[in-house]
Amino acid sequence: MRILVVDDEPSVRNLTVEILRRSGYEPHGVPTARRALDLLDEERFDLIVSDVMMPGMTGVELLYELRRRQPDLRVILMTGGSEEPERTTKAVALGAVGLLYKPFSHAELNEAVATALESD
Amino acid sequence: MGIIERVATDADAARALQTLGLLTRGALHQISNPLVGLLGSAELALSETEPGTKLNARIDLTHRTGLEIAEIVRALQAFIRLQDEPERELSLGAAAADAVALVSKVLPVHDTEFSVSGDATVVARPGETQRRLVELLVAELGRAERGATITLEVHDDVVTAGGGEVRL
Repeated sequence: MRILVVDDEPSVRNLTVEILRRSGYEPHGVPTARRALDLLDEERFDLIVSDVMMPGMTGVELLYELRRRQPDLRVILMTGGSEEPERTTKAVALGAVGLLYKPFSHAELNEAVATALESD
Repeated sequence: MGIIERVATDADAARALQTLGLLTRGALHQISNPLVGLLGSAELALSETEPGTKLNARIDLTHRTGLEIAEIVRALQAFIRLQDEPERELSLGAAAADAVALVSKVLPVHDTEFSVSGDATVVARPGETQRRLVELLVAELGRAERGATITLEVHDDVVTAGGGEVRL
């Protein structure tokens, strides 16, 4: 399964990619939502794992754009969990299959990904 | 102090609390990213080192310390998220237990014990309910002797602890 990880914070992005790789997935990391959209024009992914708070396009704006371009693509949003209740509510309304609150453990990440990939 | 001065002081206090709330939300967000790095790296390093070695023990201590910080951050994040939830039916006993868990994680309670007795179902805003229960606990903590047990007793729509109460 190919997973696109979007986070402007290199430590979070790189760790998320490494944890997912060790779990047997095929992850790829990008630092911005724009880069994610560019890559999605060229390559197919099964799941997006994206941060919410990013400079430029936010994770929720990315989700909104994806609903227009690839409505079936599953998306998990990662959030600090205390700063944007309106954004996370909107994300759920837009059909994010999971919300992952930072800080998360390897097990929590893997469980969120497995659940998302099993969802219809 | 006259009423105008008192209103002005109250308004200043409200603004200070609002600013403190904004800073707390920002700080929790800023802490959560490095914590992902700290916990994630420690968990990876634990799996890469031999159990029983000094290095493994040091990484384990780092990991467990990171988890303790993460628990505090998660408890505060959950409290903040709760403030936005609308009024609904909730168990007052469960809300009291949640308030005890939050205070135990976030404040230096030392050897104070907590207990919750009774339960009732009420219709209330979860965030406001938990905030008032936390205030009750904090007031009681200030009065309690070291080693004391603070009991939250739930009767109908009232929670009492020592001399204080929260009526919903």
